[in-house]
Order: sequence, then C-alpha cells, then structure tokens
Amino acid sequence: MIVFDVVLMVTLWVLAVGAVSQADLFKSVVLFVTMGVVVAVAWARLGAADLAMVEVAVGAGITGALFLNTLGHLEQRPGERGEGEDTSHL
Amino acid sequence: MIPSQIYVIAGAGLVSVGVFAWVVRRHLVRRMMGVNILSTGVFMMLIGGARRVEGGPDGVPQAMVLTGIVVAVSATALGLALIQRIYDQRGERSVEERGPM
Amino acid sequence: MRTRHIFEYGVALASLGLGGLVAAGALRRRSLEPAAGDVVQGLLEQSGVSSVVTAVLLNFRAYDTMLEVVVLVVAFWGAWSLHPTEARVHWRPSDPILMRTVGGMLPVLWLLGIYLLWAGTSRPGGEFASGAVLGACGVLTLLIGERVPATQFRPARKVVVVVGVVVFMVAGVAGALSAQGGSEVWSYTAGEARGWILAIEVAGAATIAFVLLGLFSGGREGLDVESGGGEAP
Repeated sequence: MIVFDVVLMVTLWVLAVGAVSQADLFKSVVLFVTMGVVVAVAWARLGAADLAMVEVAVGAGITGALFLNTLGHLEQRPGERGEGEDTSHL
Repeated sequence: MIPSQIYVIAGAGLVSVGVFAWVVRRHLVRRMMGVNILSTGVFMMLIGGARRVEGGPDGVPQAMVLTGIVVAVSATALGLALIQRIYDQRGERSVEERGPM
Repeated sequence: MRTRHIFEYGVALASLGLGGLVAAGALRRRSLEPAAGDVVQGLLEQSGVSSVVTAVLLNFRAYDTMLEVVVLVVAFWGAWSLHPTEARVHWRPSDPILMRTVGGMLPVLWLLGIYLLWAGTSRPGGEFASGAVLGACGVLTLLIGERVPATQFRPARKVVVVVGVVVFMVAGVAGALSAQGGSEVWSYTAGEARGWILAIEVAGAATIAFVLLGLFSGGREGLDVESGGGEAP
C-alpha cells in the first residue's frame, strides 16, 4: 500500500501549494480546509486515531470557520463593522 | 522505505510550502495560512518519525502533537482577531497596502 | 516587478533547501534508548487509565497539559478583548435545506463529543477530541442561527473558562498532598488517579469547547447572525 501513501503525500503537497498560490482567497481557504481533511486521513493511516479526530474537528472545522469569518470581515469597509455585509460571493 | 518515512518527507514538503508562503505572501490571512501549513508539516514529521510500537506510533509524540494542534488553532484565532483589528484601525489587509489613514 | 520575481524564486529555493535539510535530519537514524514510550508502557498500570495518550497527557505530563489549557484561555482573553462590542458572524449559509440538515445532525454530534469524553480513558478520544468536537458543534450551532444555551449566562461563561485550569490545579495539589514519600504535584497514586483524571477531563473538555467557540464568536453573547446576508425563508 505504499502507492496510497505516495498519492496522499502528493495530494497534500498539491493542496498546500494551491492554498498559498491561489489568487482568490476564498478558494485558497477551501483548499486549506481540504488539506486539513487529507491530513486527518494521514493521521489515521499512521495509526494515530486521537490525532485524526482532533484534526477533523479543529483543522478542518474550526480553523476553516475562523478563516472564512475573517475573510468576511475583511470584505467590509473599515470602521463599518457589521454594516453592509457583502456575503453574496461567500 | 517503510511507509511512515514517507510522511516525514511529506511533512518536510509542507514545511517548505509554509515557509515560502510565510515569507513571500503579503496578504496577512495568507501568511497566517502559511504558518498553519508549516505547523502541520512539523506535526507530520514528528508523528512520521516517531518510533513504532504495536498498533501505531509512540504515545508520547502523539500527546505532544495533540496539544500542539490545539495550541496552533488558538494562536491562529488570536492572529486572525489581530488581523481583523488591524483592518478596522488602519484599513490594511496586507503588509504593504496603505489604507485610508 | 522583476526583483520581486527573483526574490520569490530565491525564497522558493531556500525553503525547498530548508525542507530537504529538515527531512534529511529527521530520516537519519539515531538511538534514543530508552525511548519515552517504553517507560510509559511500563508505568501504564500506575496511571489509572489504559490509554497511552491520555496517561501521558493527564498523568505523566500533566503540568504541560495544564499550561496548554492556560495558553488556550489566554488566547481567548486576547481575542475577546480585541473584538468590537458586537461581533458578528460574517458567513452563514442561507440554504434552508443545508440549515435543516445541519440542525438535524447537531444532536448526534453533541452525543459524539460526550461519548469521546467517556471513551478517553481506555480508547482514542478524551479531553481534546471531545472539546474540539463540542466546540465545532457550538460553531455549527451559531452558523445556523441558533444560540448555544450554556453561553447565555454571563457568570456561567466566566466560570467555564477557568474551570479547566482550576480543576487541574486542585488535582495537582491534592496529588502532592496525598502522595506517599515525595511531594510532587500530580503524583496521584494508582487508586485515586482515575477519579482525578476523569474530573480533569470533564472540566478540561468544557473549557476547551467553550474557548474554541468563544474564539470563533469573539466571546460575545449577543452574537448577531441574523442581520445581513440573505434571510432564510
């Protein structure tokens, strides 16, 4: 099953490079969250079940929500927090 | 090569990508993402390089990485809160952007 | 822009070199005997739990874990003090089907979090997994526009943030007072370790879940997800 490990490794790299080089920040957050899920698969593959569970909840769930929330905040004009949210593209 | 060493190499690749994003990218959110990728790479190297006992990696590095993941997410949250604050105060989203002030 | 490109290529090469060096260093075989894992396996009987990871986290290296919960609380205070008085969630799904589905799944997720807490002493799971799942549940609850009941009472919030640390410290001091021979903190004997570890786990999971939720929402109770965005029909 060494092929699976190599495929996982290449997937991780592609997702990481995509997350940092994607022009659209929203897309890069999506790639980053996907990377979190693939990392959880890697933990499961390594036999670290504790890490896999925490990674799914934290790396993919909470971190993604935090990033998306920040992106939403940065879309508004400064000094106008809470007003005129533009969530159409999110 | 035993499979766990592949994950050491994968982690090293993630460290490279993270350092690159952290140094080169100027958008603050992207830098934060780079730091996160870097920390994921370090965790993966720790677990991949851990000694194997029956049924999985050694328990001690696992416990270290478990605390590390939770500390990383709290640091990320604080960093993102600071980024939001910077944007509120100065209208800047990236290192060299100058907002209305 | 030309210098910028040269800079980027330079940094790319340098970081690849760094990754290569780190990998080469990590792949090198060293003899670090006796490994910590063997020591833990040998002492597992005395730890009061049968899961290696939980034993390391809450018994053998309890001091580290306590300080790590302190780090969480400090980060929470930082984020809390930075946010405007009315923090808002800036992203929310407006699809009614998605919201109903998430709402239907939430009780299962709450149950999963509590199960992980219970399973932590003998199987994978425990304080961190449970706290993370419960925190994610809270975030989902906020995202579908509901309120998390436990976070509505101001005194309760303050208590829950510090309860993990306080129980940890009480357990440590109690272990020191009751230890035969030495007076080290967290040196509970095998008989009483299980009870203390369970108490730490419950309090710690509550704190972790609440802090993760608070880091997302900015710690405000008046988290107004209803304003802005499309109102779900």
